Amino acid sequence: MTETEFTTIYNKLYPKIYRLCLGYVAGDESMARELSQQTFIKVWNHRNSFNGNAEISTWIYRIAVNCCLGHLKKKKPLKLEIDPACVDDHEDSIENSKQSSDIQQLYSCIDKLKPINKTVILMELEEIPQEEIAATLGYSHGSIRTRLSRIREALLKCLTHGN
Amino acid sequence: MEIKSINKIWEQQTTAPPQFKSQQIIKQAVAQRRKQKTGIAVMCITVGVLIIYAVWQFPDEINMFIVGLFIMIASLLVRIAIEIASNLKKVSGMVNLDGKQYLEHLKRFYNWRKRIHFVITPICFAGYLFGLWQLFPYFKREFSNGFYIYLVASAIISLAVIAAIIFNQVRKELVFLKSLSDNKTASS
Repeated sequence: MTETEFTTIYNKLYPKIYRLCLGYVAGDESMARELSQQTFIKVWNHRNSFNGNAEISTWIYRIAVNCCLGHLKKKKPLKLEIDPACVDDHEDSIENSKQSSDIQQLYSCIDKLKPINKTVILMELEEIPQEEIAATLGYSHGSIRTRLSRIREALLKCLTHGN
Repeated sequence: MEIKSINKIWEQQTTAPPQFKSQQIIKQAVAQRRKQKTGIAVMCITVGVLIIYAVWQFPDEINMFIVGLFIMIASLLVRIAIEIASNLKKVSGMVNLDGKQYLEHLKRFYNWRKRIHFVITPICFAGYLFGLWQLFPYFKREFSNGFYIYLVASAIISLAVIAAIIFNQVRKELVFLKSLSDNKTASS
């Protein structure tokens, strides 16, 4: 992998990797940045380990997922409460607060899932093809499909009823 | 609420641009590699110097000060070597295994770390304490009373801080290992 190839891959995959990590650490931006950074540092340092048996993106997603699965640091508490006094009457502000609250609730619900299920749904939300999710996590395509439908149900239940 | 709404919520996120350019990541990667290699080189040189010193000097000058010093340094080196090996072991799995295999690798890894924490670390810590204990009579003889008290107090404080750091790390790893084991039986 040359520097130019690395730059192309970095620019293309960074947003997806960042959001994957962000979802994994329940919206902790600084932790997500650190995990994304560590992923690409490992990609560069171990670029000779890539044997070409899979897509390069699959190999990078594997490293990102494994970085997330293995990280030990404590998550910062979720900021779910919104102080009504801070929300002005402006419609945009209300809309933004609603969005922020929704995404925080989604992070919180994702955080309740098992680590593998977390990564499955986060990759799916990032529109990574299911075959690639299966290859990244070491499961069959069918198994990923079944898991996804169960995870979606669990998420909907959590988002609707809060558990 | 519908399934589509989950995707809709997810799409509302704003993605921060990368904090670093790719060239900066490469620089950091190279620096990280260099740091690892330097650490290993320094440790190998220290071990080499200690062995050479032991072979040349020990028969003539053996005393409890040198023995204590050697035990302290050896305990530290063993613990540092284990940390470096642990790090390499964890990273190698991270790069070569898929998610499912890596979770199994993590369970084996942290079970291995548990044995290190409960067996090797206490031995190293006790060895370090024993070595340090051998030095105190020499410190008392060589230094003023005030400086001796300062050395004893600072040794106690730094050992307490190190013990607290080790305890915190062990606790964190045990909680993580438990979460990995619970995960095996959890349903969602």
